[in-house]
Amino acid sequence: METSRRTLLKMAGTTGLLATGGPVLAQATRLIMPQPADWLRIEPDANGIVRFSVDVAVIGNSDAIDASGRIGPKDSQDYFNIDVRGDTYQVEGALYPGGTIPDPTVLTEGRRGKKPSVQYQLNWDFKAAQPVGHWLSRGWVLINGNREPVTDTLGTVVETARTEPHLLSEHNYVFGRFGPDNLSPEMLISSGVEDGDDVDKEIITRAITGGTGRFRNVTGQVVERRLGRNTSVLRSFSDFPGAYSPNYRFEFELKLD
Amino acid sequence: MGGTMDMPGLAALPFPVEHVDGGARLVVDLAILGHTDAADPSGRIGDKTTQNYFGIDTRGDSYFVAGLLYPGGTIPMPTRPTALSVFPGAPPRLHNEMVWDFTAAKPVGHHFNRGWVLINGSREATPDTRGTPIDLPRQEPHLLSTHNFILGEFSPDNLSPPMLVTKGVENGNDPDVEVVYRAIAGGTGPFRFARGQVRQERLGRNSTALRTFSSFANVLAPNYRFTFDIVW
Repeated sequence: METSRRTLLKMAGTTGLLATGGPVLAQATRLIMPQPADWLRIEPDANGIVRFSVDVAVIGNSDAIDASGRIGPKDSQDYFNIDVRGDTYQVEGALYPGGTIPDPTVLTEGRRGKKPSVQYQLNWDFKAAQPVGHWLSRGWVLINGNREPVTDTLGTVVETARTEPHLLSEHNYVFGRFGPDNLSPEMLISSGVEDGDDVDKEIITRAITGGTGRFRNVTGQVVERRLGRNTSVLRSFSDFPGAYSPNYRFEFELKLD
Repeated sequence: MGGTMDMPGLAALPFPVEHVDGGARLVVDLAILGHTDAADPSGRIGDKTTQNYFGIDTRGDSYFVAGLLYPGGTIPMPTRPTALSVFPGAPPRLHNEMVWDFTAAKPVGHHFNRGWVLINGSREATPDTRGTPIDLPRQEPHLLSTHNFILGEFSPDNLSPPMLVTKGVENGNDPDVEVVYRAIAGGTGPFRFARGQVRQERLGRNSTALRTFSSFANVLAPNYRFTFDIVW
């Protein structure tokens, strides 16, 4: 990680931007903040399809959960064993051009009782690149951990426990940094479920539901997959302390008109 | 839109798709799982002993509810006008009949519905700072919502079957005239470039009881039929 960071900083000192629309780096003397057109190139292919990717590091301390208290205090939460469907949450992330966060490669221990996975590796520490945008996610929890089958008024079992997917959410991908003079950089929005019990199988396709700027007439979908973890710690989404926050890669497939 | 339909993708769905006028029509039935409704922690909608949400302004309260999807036509149309305890004295309504008990067919998809309550049951008009009435009681539509139609079953190896997403208002005070049109906001798989609208109408009730959406106990959860008209 440190070697990679030094290499990137050296490159940034001479070029400012990495080749092929890569991230802008924090430098000792000045910070270059790119415009979306600098790094987010949208060229339709022969079928009129636009494809690009972005990386997101979830900022763990930003997670805000429902006032019900069912997901919240680390000393009492037990949300994989109760029905917490309908609890709400919001969480933010730092958005980077696709390819900024390196693929994890080291098999790493994860949650108690879970198999090790490269997706538990801490592979992002926020020092190697400045984010070029924001990611905002909010929604509802879908976990029904209740082990008792639910019956209807006639005694028929209508539902049993289902612990994944974990969330039903809306994402806003903001392709620029908020500032007093720019409260609405161009944006894409997606809707869908996300998060599973096995991080190696956690590949989700979400619907694009709208956009602004170059994306104002958009349709399409986005595939979300895990991309290791980062150095921020989840505030309340994990039931044990010190759980590092996840990263994701989003691969968009769009039509713009 | 001038796009093309993903014919193999549509044919693989566990729901019949009819091709009409350069687009497609998809019909889906939904049985709401009454025990899944989760209301806002404000408490204005929730506690059966105190709630009075048709008599107060509950706009902005949030909710979530889940349901099971079936191919269109699975849930039978109601035939018998039935009274409902929620509105004592109200005439019996066709779509209050219990027509689905979950034993006749297995579901083939999931439905998630969340949003905000729109009911302003306040009996007093709200004036502006100069005394002009600007907001009068309005009890319907009841909800402003987003629906996710998961057109397949979740499994550990498939957390995202094909999906459609819709947005709009829903629910009125008379189930027999409750027809709403909602916007298709997006989709995945064969619907990833879809545009269009969906007609939502009531389809009787089922044998699960609403947890908090009704101010009386043992009110059976509703069913719906959705007719999607989709272009690409």
